[in-house]
This record gives sequence, C-alpha cells and structure tokens, in this order.
Amino acid sequence: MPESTAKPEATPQKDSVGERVLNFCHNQYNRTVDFAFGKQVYVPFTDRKVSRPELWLGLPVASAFITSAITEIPIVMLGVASKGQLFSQNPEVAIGLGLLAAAGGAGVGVATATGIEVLSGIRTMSEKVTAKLHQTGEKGIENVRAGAKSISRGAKIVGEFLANPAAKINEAIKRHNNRIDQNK
Amino acid sequence: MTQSIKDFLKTLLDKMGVNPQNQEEIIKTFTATLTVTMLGVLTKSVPVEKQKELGEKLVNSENWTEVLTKEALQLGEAKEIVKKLNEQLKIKIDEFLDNLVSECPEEKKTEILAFVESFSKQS
Repeated sequence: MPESTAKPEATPQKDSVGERVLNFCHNQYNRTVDFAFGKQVYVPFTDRKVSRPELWLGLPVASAFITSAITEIPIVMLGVASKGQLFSQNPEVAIGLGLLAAAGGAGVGVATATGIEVLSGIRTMSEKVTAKLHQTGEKGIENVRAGAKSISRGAKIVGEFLANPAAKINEAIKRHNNRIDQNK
Repeated sequence: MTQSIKDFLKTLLDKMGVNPQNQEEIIKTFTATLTVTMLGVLTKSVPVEKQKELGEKLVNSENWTEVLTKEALQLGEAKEIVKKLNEQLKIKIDEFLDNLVSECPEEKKTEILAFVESFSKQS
C-alpha cells in the first residue's frame, strides 16, 4: 500500500512581532482620536459628555471602525444620527465622523485638494526605513566592536597572569600584608 | 509609481514574518490613524462659529470629504492647513516607522534592507 503523500496541516505559529506592532498601532490610533476629537464629546441627543468617541459610538461600532477601516457600518450609523439633532449639538464631532465614514481610505480627495503628495510619501517612507535600518545596523556593529575590545582587554589581563603567575601571587601577598600592617 | 502605501507596507510586513491577518489589521489601523489625523486638522481649521452652518451643508451632501475640504480651505488659511496636515502626518508616519524598525527581527534585517533600498531607488 503506497504511503499517503498528504502533508500534515501546518499549525499557526505565534506571531509576536505582528502582535506587538498591532498593539502599537491601536495605541497610536487611540492617541490620534484624542487629538482629532478631543478628550470629551457629547452623547448625541443629550447634554451629557463622555470621555471617548468609542463610548459615544458604542464599542461594537468602534471596533468595526478600526477593523473595517471605515466602511458601510459607520455610514449607516451616521445616516441615522444625522437626521436628528447631532449636527446642531456638536457639529465638530459629526463632521469628523462623517468625513471618516465617507473617506474610505487615507483621504486621497483631501490630499488632492490640499496638495499633499501621497505617492511621494511612499518613497519618503521607504527612504526613512532604509536610513533607520542602516542606523540600527551600525549600532549593532559598534556594540560587537565594543564587546570584542572588552574581551581582548580581559584576555590581556589573564595572559599577563599566566605569563608570570608567581610574581602576581607575590604582589597580592605583599599588598595583603601591607594592609594588615596598616591596620595594626 | 503604481505601488500604494498599502502594497509597500504589506510586502514589508510579509518580509518581517507578520502573519496575513495581523498585516491586514496593522495596515487598516494605520490607515485609519492617518485619516483621523487629517480629520483633526481639518475640523480644527474651521472656525467654531461656522461649524453649525457647515454641519447643515454636510447633511445634504453625499461627498463629505469634498465638502469639508473645500469649506476648510475657504474658511481657514489654506497654506497653514496644508502645513499642519503635513506636519501631523509626518509625526504619525515617523512614530509608526520607529516602531516597525525596532520590532524588525535581526535575522530579517538584511532582506528588508535590500527591499526598501530597491524601493527607494525607484523613480
């Protein structure tokens, strides 16, 4: 009977690098929301303020906000909200969220109208990555060099001792005796 | 240049060994961060006394991006807005890159360096 050629299914590996980068991105996003909307916003149709827009939207929508990168869900929510008193109560928040919902990406329309060069930004970004990687690479080499220097210094001390152990031991005994004499 | 920021980051993260699901989440979250940054600058550029009026215009519009951009540029100082946008976007990109480079595994650095260097040289 021929052996099965089917390979065992690969088990998903833990992606600690990806998790750490993602965690950073979520923190950066939250800090940016603070910057864009302020620390406090109004709850729609009331005079109450809450500390985060996520609470205003409700957690499921907030996470959809991040994971779907501004798709239909916020638009539907805003479509309902915009018919009420939201704009008159807090137009700044409404404008912000509405634009976010409508942008559907990194704001190419905004970039065109304001003169931001999105495409050249990619090149700048890759140049920056190169520069930073070179920088960290050089630091690594410096550390290796410093380590090698320290090892050779250690080797020199050991070598001196091995070359003339009797003299070194005599020196040590002499130093010890001197200390005893001084303490008398 | 036809490659998008998304394509560039996707390849970079792929080479760093980040799994596809996390790649997608990272790119989406970072894109959302850039968008929110733009929103913050634009909304803060519209004078408070004009915001109610602008809100009413937006109710009747389907393309909010266009409306807000146009209004912000008319109501605020266009050059100042662009300057602030570029400053804020640069801060966010720098923060992200610092993190990406510090998380880059040692054994992958040579390969990643070769990739980004070849990309930098493209015209």
